[in-house]
Amino acid sequence: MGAADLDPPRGHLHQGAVYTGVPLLWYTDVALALRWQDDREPGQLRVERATHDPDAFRDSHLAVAWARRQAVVVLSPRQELGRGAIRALAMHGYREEERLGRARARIERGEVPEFVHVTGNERLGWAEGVVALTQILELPRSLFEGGYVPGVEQAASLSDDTLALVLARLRAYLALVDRGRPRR
Amino acid sequence: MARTAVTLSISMPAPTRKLLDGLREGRPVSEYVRGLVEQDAARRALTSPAMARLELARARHELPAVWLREHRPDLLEPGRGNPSVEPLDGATAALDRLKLIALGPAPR
Repeated sequence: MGAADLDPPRGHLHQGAVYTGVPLLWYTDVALALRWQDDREPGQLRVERATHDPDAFRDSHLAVAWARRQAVVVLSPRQELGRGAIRALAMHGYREEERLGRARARIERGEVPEFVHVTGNERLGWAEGVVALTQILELPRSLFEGGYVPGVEQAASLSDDTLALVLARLRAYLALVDRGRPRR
Repeated sequence: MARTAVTLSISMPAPTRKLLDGLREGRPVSEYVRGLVEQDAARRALTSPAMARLELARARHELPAVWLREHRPDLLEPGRGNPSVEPLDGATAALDRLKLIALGPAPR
């Protein structure tokens, strides 16, 4: 199945560029909206549970979400890089994710369709891990241009062959079409 | 090739034959033409729903058998777990005037 190798960073935004420190957002376990308290307390935002509110998030509502820094690889081709939103795939290290680490041998053999093994690169200070084909993200371009939050850095670049491997594996993964039976 | 395969003979002018020989780069004509047919089917799959289904079925057939296992646990799930945010329900955040102007709801 092959593994993905890393080259040094090219220093500009491009397909296959690997960035570290990118804050990714997660949904919270219960839906929480941030609402303006114009009537009672002007200038204040109040966190309100939206679990039973059919009107929640219909306008431009603020919401509560988790954020965590993560490494990502840019998926958008050159034609998309001028847009406000960039597509990317999340990357994970075997050391940080215990279950991932236990499945490492199977991932390296290409038996786990949703992950592409990425070899470590001591020179780049990069530990072995995976590209997660399940986590297709849409991120603001400003994140990659340093204008959103400090600490986002281009750490490496996928080689041309490796980028081809990731794209081919993503295509194959998306061909896993099986609507099957309803989940119980 | 399966025993049910049908042999086709194709006639073409000499310049086209020369072009074909250049394009197939040493591959047998039959292999090259079969590849062309599959490529064309894949290209059409981008617009025709019926062809798209055929293309996906073909692609799925080529996937490693181990990928088709029924049960595949989410290996990232534990790392994605976060503490409950329920205690935040009812919390308030005060904003200064500048932020209020920038973030305030659009007038109705």
